[in-house]
Amino acid sequence: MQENARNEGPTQLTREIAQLIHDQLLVEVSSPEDDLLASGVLDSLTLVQLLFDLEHRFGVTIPLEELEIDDFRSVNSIASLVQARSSANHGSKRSEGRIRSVFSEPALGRNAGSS
Amino acid sequence: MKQRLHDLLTIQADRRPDAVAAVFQDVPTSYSALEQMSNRLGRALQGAGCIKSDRIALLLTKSTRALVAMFASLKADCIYVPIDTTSPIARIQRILQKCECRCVLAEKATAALLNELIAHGAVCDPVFVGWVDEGATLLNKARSQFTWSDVQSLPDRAPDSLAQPNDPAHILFTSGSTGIPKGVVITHANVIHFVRWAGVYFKMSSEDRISGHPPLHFDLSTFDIYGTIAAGAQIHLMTPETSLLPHKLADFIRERELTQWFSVPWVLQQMAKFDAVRQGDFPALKRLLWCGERFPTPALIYWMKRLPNVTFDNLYGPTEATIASSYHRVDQCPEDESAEIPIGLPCKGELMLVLDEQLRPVRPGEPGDLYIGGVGLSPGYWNDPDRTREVFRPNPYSSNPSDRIYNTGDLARISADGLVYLIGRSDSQIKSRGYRIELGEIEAAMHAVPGVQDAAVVVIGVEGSEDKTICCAYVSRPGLGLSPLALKRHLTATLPRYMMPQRWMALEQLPRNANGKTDRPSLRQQFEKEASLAGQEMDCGPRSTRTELSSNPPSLVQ
Repeated sequence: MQENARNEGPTQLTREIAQLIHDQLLVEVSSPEDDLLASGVLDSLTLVQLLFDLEHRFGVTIPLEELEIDDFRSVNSIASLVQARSSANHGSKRSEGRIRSVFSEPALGRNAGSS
Repeated sequence: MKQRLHDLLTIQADRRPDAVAAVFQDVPTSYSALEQMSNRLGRALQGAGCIKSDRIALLLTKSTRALVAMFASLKADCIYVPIDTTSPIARIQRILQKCECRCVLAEKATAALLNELIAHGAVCDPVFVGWVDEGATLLNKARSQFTWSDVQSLPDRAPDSLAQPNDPAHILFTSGSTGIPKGVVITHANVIHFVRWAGVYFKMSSEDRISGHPPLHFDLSTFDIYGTIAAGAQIHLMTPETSLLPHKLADFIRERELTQWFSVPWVLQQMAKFDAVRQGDFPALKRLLWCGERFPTPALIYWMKRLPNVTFDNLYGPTEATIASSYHRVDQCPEDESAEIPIGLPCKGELMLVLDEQLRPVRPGEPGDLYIGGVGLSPGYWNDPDRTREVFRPNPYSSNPSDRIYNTGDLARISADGLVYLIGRSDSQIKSRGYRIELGEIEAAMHAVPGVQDAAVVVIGVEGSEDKTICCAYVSRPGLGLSPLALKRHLTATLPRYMMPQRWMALEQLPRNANGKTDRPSLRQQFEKEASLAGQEMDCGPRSTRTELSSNPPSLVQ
């Protein structure tokens, strides 16, 4: 994260998201503006894993059905999403931090497990 | 008359020139436009020196232009090779070398990839480049033969075609256990036989609006494309990004009023998992088909309960047998979530045999190796007679000596009522999200990494679920202490993304069994234990901050 968009330095939040991607997906993101979809960092498997990790790390609920593809375009856009969801969750019942799924399959969580 | 695949397009363009053939990103293309564009591009290929059976690599993203490139290659009597443009350079290079392409068709969107291939020496004289759009500047080592404006100046009459139905139409590359992808040769006749059967069985018509979900290097897409054209229907091509969010995919089916959906089960499973389908959703949808791997019954029940007016068909068949060899319509919604869905009966003209090691048929209910024969069977792997002989064998039950059967590697049984059920695999091939993966290919890539002394790949999965996790254990060369991050960086250069392991374990040595071989069951247990601990940790709330991979093996990170 040496190069940053315009004059903005990396915020604490973008640093944490880049670190999360580094730790969970074993991918180094060089800039918060990097296109994570075009570069294939996020695909149909890793995107759901990352969602799960974001919910747990930041204690927010991210309803999948309200998402747009561009919400995941870059670390910066993910940071905006997390911020928006934090304000949405603020004051309401504390998030359970679970992606809503109709099955009780533990697979998602386990696949995204840590050491 | 014996038809070739491009004849299907010509017939529809004559019959209904203004009807819509393909829609991509809201832009419709008519049958006559598709025919004329592919005629012109076919002429450009011939004009640039392409002759019968030359291979044309399609370095193209999914779009209507890619369809034009396919038909143009066929009209020029050539064999097209769809390239996965998300694959690493080294893998694309191996594929281009293997099939000795005469021409690479590219577009602006793949120009950077093409220039990387040129820089690596993968595309050089006498291979030439043709652009299906305005193109871009090439590195000076390569020869650009024509751009789209050159193509547009050519006559729109069909070029002379000498191709016969049994000539190869395309080559599809799949994972190879030794690390080298295998090129499955598919003939015009292979595809036409399936498409004709499917057209009748599914009652396809010009009213159909058909999904174009899989990537174009997947054999499922062959049915979407040629099934559509044979029926005079519309294909609605989806971008890969549409597939990322289950609700967006549901929007697509709804808004495009699709009548037929065909994909790998994983996609349908994701839509079920995130409850993207409403009761009575997709009123235009008539049929839903899947192929490529098992569709977990709970997800199938989810779909069948919501869409009571849709037919549900399980298709089965490896690429080597062209799209599908068997079918099974699920007439009743299963009541039991553990109900087993058969792969069913052979499609017309196909043969399925369940045999023992001596190639004798097994008794009903007994497990055996599943062999496929019949009209869909590929002539074999491109330029690879040894591997072809290994799995394509003479049919011992045919009086015709040229009849062959293909060993699928699947284990199966036949029920008393003649339905075939899959049991598992006789080798280490797996299916993950519909992708066919030879674990040997991943191991070969790991062994090729300089700092790796030994490596093994195993798969773990949750019981009753198709969610599989590819896990790799490795031993670094003394003093090197290769981190998973560094190892992954190396593998990114050779393995496609869908083959990338998700769990990594650095060990001092791999566990061995009494015979001195890698003890894979023990490795699987270790990974399962770690995965289970990680799951428990998650159930206790937000995880603790991850520590960097310890230099003291064993340790595991994702």
